[in-house]
Amino acid sequence: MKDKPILAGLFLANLISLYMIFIWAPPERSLGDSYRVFFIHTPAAWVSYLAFAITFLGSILYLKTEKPMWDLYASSASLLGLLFCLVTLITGSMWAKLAWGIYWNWDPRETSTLILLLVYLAYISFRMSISDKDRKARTSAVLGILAFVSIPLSYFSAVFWATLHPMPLFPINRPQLGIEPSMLLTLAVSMIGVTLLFSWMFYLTLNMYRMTEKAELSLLEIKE
Amino acid sequence: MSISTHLIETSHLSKRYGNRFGLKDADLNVENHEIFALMGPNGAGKSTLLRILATLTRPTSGEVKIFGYDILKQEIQVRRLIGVVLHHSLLYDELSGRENLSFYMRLYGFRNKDILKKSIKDKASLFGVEDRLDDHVGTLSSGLKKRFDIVRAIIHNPRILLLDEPFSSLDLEGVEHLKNYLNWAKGSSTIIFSTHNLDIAEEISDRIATLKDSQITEIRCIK
Amino acid sequence: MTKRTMPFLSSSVTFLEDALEILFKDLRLELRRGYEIYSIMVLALLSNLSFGFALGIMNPNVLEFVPAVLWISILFIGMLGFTTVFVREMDKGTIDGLRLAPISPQAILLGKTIYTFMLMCVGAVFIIPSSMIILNYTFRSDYLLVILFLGLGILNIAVVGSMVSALAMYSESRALIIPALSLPLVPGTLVPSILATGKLATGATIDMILSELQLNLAFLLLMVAAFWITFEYVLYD
Repeated sequence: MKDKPILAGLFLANLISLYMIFIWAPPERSLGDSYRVFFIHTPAAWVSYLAFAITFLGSILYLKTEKPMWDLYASSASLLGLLFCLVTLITGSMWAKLAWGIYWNWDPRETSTLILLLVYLAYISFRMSISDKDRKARTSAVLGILAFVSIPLSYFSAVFWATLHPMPLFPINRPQLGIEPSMLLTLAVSMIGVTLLFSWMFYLTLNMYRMTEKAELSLLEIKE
Repeated sequence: MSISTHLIETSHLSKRYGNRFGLKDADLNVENHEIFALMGPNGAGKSTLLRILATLTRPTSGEVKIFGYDILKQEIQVRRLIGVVLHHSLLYDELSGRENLSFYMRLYGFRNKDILKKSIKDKASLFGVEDRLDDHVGTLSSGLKKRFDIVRAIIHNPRILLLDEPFSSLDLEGVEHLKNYLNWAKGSSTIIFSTHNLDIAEEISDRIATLKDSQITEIRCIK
Repeated sequence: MTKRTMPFLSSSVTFLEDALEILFKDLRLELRRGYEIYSIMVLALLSNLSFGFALGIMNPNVLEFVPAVLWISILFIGMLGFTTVFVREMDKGTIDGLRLAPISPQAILLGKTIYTFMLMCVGAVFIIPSSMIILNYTFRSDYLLVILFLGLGILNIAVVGSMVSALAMYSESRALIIPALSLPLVPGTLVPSILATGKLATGATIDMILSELQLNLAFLLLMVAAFWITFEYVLYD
């Protein structure tokens, strides 16, 4: 297999980043160890945005070129984006529970991430409800573009809403984290590790779909 | 824009539905004032071919030129020139025949009330439905509905008529009206239609193409 | 797909005429069918009634709930109407008639969007006054401002609704896919609309709802632009 060295690099990067996250990085002075969840939360959020951006670009390129490859990129990326979006939400609310005592505090970022999750859940269920391949690719490419356009609109609405409904219990101006250089370095390594992990998963998903298609084709040939 | 020698020209036209072909490598030239019949069993690709010519289905590969217009790039110009009858009716059941026809005519840019009124009456009388113009289409029998649908297709005086099994759900009287109309319309337009009925095809068409398994297998002249 | 010629200024009159043609056809169909407008009326009254039961009459905090109640009712009534916009054309096969017409696809979208907007306005005309009576509140702001702002919010939902209907006509589970697609797409306009409606009930002037107005206008512009560019890929098969 030619992707073995890549795989080894990926494994190594994530091993190092796990070591740095849990052992090497010092505890934060006011939050203690709970802040370490950000080393997973932040890269997951970044990767989910990256994935949805790929869905957006894939959608545009599909409409421009009508090459099935771009539809494959868009749909695979949306699936992984959803997965990492879910990780972002779960780690975020875990930390919220520890820091503020409740899982959900209507922080604009939390709210808009939830809307993001719903938008792409709808995107995937829309894909599942169309059986004709060309139709599915074309109409969901349009939806992939609309979904991406709606994200900033939802985000600004959530921010605006939060400024009008400041919750006395959970102040908007959070205590500043005491960030040390070693923490930033850990975050950077974790970013690289998770991005590599995403790329590998993306590659696997693409391959899986390609193989499914090939299998379907050969099954059809056998039937004929 | 290149002026092509044939009125309708297709080259290597294919349409794939997923993993199977709806139409494969179709080369077809149709001349002006010709009546061209498409024959073949169900699922042979007749409807696919007609839908592609009608700009309703985009081919997977290949080219089509109608009056020198590329149907992929200049579809609005092509749509102005063609009149199309499909398997299903394109009429709104809740509207009367007159309202339906006037709606479609307006979409073709005819907005003068007198012209609309006269043309609707004239075209309807060609098919013997002028006294049913004010009935709601939903209340008509399937034969009459089909006649109205054909009137809809010719309401804007198209230069090219694309008819997908126009004879199939027509009553006898309707069949006669349509035959007469096609013979008359030949003078000013080109007609492509699909049918299962060899007698009708041989009676009114100039050439017949036979399709089988999504391919054109044979084209023969009648007259 | 290839690029279609955009409507030029000289043909913009024809463009509008084509859009109006589609609109008038749909309005005529709707009036002749009747039962959809009738159900919208009934649902409007019913939703007010049930919210009245839930909140309690003479609830002193009614103004905190009313904006959300109003917009949720409008949104749900809109979703009933969305199915009629494109999905019905697909079911009856008449969508091919529109595809065959030598008109710009955007003219079809425009006509359909105005139609959706008008249908939702019919619902709003029933919901808003009846909720003012049943839930016992009034708008203290300038009525022109109230109407214009509510109209803008409804227009935003109608824009999303007509596009969602166009996408849903290809789906094999229309009844589920219409709410599934429209709900996550509308928060960008629903949130500012709800917030501003609350302010309008307590007598806000235009500069007090300026941010909401800007958010709603931005929503309108961005969504219309996105739909305008992509619609032809949805209409033609």
